[in-house]
Amino acid sequence: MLFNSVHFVLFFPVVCALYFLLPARFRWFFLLAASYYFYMCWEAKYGILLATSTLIDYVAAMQVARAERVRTRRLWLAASLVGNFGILFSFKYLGFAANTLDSILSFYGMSISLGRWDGILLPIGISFYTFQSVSYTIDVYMGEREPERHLGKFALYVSFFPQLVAGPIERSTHLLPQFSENHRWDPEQAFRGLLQMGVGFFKKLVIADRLALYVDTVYGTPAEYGGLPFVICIYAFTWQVYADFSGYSDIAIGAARIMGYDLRKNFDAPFHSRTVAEFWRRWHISLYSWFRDYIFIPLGGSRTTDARRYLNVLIVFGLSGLWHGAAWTFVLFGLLHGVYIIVGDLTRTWREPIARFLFPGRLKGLHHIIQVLVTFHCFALSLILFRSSSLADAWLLVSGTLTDFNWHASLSSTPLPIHELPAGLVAVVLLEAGNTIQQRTSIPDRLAAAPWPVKWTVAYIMLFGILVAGVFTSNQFVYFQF
Amino acid sequence: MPRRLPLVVNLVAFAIVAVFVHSGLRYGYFRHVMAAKRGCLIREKEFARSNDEVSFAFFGNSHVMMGLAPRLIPDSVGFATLGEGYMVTYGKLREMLDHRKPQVRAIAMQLDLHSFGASQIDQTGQPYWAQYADFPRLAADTTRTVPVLMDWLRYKEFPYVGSLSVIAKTLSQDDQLVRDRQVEILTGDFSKHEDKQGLTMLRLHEHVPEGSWYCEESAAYLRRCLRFCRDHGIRVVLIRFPLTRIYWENVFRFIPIDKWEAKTREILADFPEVIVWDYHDVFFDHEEYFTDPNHLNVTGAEIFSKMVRDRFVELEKTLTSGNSPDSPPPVTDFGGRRRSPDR
Repeated sequence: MLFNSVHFVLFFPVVCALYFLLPARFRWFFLLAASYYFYMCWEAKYGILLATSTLIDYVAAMQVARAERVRTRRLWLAASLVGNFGILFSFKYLGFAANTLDSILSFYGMSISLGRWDGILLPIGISFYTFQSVSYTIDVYMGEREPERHLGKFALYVSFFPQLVAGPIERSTHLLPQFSENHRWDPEQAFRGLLQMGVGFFKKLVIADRLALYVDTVYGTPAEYGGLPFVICIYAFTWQVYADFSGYSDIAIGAARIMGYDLRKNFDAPFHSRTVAEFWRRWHISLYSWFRDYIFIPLGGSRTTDARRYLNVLIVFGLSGLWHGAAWTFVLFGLLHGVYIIVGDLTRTWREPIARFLFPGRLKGLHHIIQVLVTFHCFALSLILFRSSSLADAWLLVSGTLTDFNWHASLSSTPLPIHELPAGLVAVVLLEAGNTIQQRTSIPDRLAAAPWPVKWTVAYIMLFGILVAGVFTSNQFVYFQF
Repeated sequence: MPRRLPLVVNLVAFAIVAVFVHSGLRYGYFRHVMAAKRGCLIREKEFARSNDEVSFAFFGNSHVMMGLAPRLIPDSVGFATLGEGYMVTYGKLREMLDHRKPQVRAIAMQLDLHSFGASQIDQTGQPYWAQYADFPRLAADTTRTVPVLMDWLRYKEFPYVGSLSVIAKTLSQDDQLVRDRQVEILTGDFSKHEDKQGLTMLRLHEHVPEGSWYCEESAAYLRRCLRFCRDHGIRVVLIRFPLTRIYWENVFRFIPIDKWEAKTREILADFPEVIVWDYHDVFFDHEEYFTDPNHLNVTGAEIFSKMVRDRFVELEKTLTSGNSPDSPPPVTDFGGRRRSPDR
């Protein structure tokens, strides 16, 4: 079920109303049933995978907690990791691995049959709930928390519908205890939740899906375009992917908040970042904190030699690229960001004195703006790899952008949805203005404290503004494919 | 500290205001936006303003709209729109005649070769047409019940949803350019067209996509139109509009004419009071009267309107003399003037 579907518009109010009408002791069961319904609307049989992942971690965590010997605890942890990542590998990476193997073998004149893996449908959100489920077992193993004895509540933790298919990837220490609390209807929280959902829908329907009209056309047949359409496309996709994914997170967080649940912040105005390292602390926060806590730090983190630290960075970003998708373009996307961070770290010692010399006193603000622009463009360029269906297409875009300077001619060949771009641009400016204000003061806090006519006016503007300006083509969220 | 209203009161009050806002947007959209159909809105206003002495109303598609000039035909008003099928015409008949103009004596509609095509029924996706579509009936008639009901919500109840670009287009459109474009279409001369065969095939592919020339739903809506008019004592004139020879010579590749005629006769057999005027071949030797293979230009429309004017005058005399709609038709020449290329 898509958030931007009529199905969800009917589903969510009914679930909310019944949730608060039900006695507290039955709510977990109701939410669990609603979450499985939400998930199985896509492909009912994949509910089995979700249940399997839940059972693996429930049993593994209980055994880890019960075991007295370290070796036994490790074995149960390994069982959880093998089970979860085995499922993930089978459904997401097997085809990729087979193709890669075939390419290597064909280099030596051999071949393997690939037919069996091509038809497998990727279970939606599998990367998200696998990481969430595994993090629980690791937390129990690390002694961060006690195992959850209530299977139903644990299953709800893995499948909680607002964040099930595209995050934020929650930690058990944060979300699981909330399922044992008695949530009362709170109009102020509901208003904040609705406001955040409204912002999410604005991002998705007004910005992301509008820009997608252009981006999908160009990336669909890149050979037909060049120069300016490519440049526009690179910027458009950068905003599309941000608005799409952060929009999903906002809807998820807002929906959960209406029901009384607090989900983690997933985006924090990432395009205001001054370095790539800072960017990754503000973009998809829940995923990169997962990699930091469960991969980077166990590998030695920053408390090791420079060479080892840089290797750790490359491992983490390579894996994070692979997490996004089973293709070399994604791996390179991740590695490129690792390289950005390493280069940034290596050059910091001479960049800082130069910056102090070039931008003294009041010019620091200009330095700040340049840093933000450089970071933004590093990310925007890396997204060529992220969005291209192959390395050849990615190269076509890069070379077309750098070599085709006949922009007037290429503008005339630009795809039809060009007229949607000004509206998209205005929406992006509005969004960034909101982000800038939000950095200084909390807009939801101020609105929540405002009198009801103000609240209602904001609500009507948001509701009807989205209805009029949105693009309602039922586009999936970009991150659903991961 | 302001007093907090109960949740239910809040929700109801919020919903009431929302309904008002929605109604305002919906009304504004139907009345003032719909850029692509602004010509229809103008014609609709003309129809609403027309006096009670109107005898003939012209409903249907572009052939009616571009072929019959109301200013040349006494006591007539045009209410046809581009691409309109019988389903929409039926809705417009109900809306305009049932509620506003019951005194209209006769209506004229097209009887085109592609009138029964599936594309003529799948017309709910445009707000202008959707406002006339009888969605509950359409949903009951079709196997696509859920999509039709969704179209109802989307195009009839919430036409402004996702319409920012349409609104922007309307606000920014240059009326003079629009008029120039219309003049260009109306004054086009097909005889001077460089690729007549190509344009003809393009039109045929548009009209009869993938050979889908007959669809029961379209035929059912023609029956409904005819039954509705009979029930309201309104005479129907079905007109086969002039075509170019090249169109006629190519249409056989897409539509089996004999089967089309059989289907048409089957429908008309239940409505003996319906009048059919067949003019499809009248301008076979006059490509200069057309703007494209099957649409008259302003010259052709003027000549054609003058041709049918006398028949309309005659019909009016017949109707005002007290001839009941059940009496035999004064003129029926369906098939009588047909010519195929091999004859």
